[in-house]
Amino acid sequence: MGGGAAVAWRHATDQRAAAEQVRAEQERLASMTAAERRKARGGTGRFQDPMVSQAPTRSTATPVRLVIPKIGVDSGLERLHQDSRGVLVAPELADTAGWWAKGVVPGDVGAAVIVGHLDTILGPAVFVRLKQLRPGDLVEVRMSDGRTVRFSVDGSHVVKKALFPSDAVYGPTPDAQLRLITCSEPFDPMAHSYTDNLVLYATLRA
Amino acid sequence: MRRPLFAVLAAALVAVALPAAPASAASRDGWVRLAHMSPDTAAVNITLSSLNGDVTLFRLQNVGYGAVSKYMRLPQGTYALAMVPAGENDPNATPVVSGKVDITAGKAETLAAIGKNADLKTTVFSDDLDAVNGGDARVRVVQASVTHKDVDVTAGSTTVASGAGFGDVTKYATVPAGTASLELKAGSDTQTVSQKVTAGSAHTFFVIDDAKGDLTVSPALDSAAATETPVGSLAAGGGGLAGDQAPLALLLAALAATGGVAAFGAMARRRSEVQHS
Repeated sequence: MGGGAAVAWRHATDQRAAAEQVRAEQERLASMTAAERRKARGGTGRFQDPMVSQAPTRSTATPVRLVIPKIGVDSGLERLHQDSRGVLVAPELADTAGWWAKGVVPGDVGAAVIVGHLDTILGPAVFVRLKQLRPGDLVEVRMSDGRTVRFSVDGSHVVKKALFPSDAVYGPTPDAQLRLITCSEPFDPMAHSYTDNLVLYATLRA
Repeated sequence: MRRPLFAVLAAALVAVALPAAPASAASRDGWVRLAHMSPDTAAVNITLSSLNGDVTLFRLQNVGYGAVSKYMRLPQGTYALAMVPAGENDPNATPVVSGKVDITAGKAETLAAIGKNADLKTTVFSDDLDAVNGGDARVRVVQASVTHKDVDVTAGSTTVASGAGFGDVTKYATVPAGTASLELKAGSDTQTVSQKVTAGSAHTFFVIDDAKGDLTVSPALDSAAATETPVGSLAAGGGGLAGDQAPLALLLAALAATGGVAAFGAMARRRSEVQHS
């Protein structure tokens, strides 16, 4: 017997088995009363009132601490604001990260934004090791109401500051996300600033 | 002079190479959420699995009528869904309804089971991830009432749905954020329901039947963002670690100094000219 015939034979057997299963199911349904049939399909026989939940509103709790075990970050959080031109101002202190207070609350649907310095003229700052994070790494945000909101790193992106991806960073999201932002090399000594930003994307753990 | 030139070239190469770094791992993923909108079907258990059914990716227990799940995140691809009655413990039980959904990277989909229990079906539609202007919200309607045909929905003076038939999904309409008073109309039946809509968010309202057969809605949040977007990038570094760039920095600083002297000279000259004129 050739391989083709064996396959054809097995195919016919499979088809017979499937037909057998369908017939058994039909017989089972036929032997039921209408009420039993309906129950098997989860039918209630009458309309129900829906389970309705109101859309969630903005959390009143605020983030107070950022903990990233893998890179040894354990920092309080400043509240960050925009300047008169609308530019988001980085934290005052080098060793403290900051949360954009007018933005999304971590854990709410949308992208919450936390910024930290890479370094100062003197040396490393709070987000100096941010680029070492990899997909799946844990980022914890402690909230003012005692909750801990846990995120998993999705990936990161080095972007030219001149081409900062505002839509990807601040735009609408269907789930709760987090952005961690710092500076990235190269350094432009003329402008006395780094030319790039490192943007890290994270999503709330299920 | 060869070494500093080489350093400048190396720095230029690094700058070019960085944007080519691997893109966010998130970019291949999309989202799906599941909704149970069959008025005479009891709570169901829902499984979302690979198309061949071999791998179960999500399992939702006891999803009741009117419920909309949170978004689940999945790599781009096609997935299979099956709903079985919540009381059913047989894993091989015939599903009440099954369906398929295509996930596209960066896009969100809703898969809803609609219709009466006897002729339940699934429908899939895409959800809004576009930015919303300032203090506004976006709203749309999914007409899933099995007893009312041609449903009109208005939010204040804004028409959201006009003559929507069973299974229709409207476009998004922009409304002011706050409490939206939704008027649901089908023939002579009119119901008014209040719903919160948030600035910067997109909402879907499923129009469905209550136990008396009257129209009502089940709301769902499609996406959310801050109400404003900061301008530009972040200045979050002082340069103390930019050690590799030191030769370049010194070179550029030297250039700047030379340029500065020249500029100072020019300024001094002009001032003397002014003084002399």
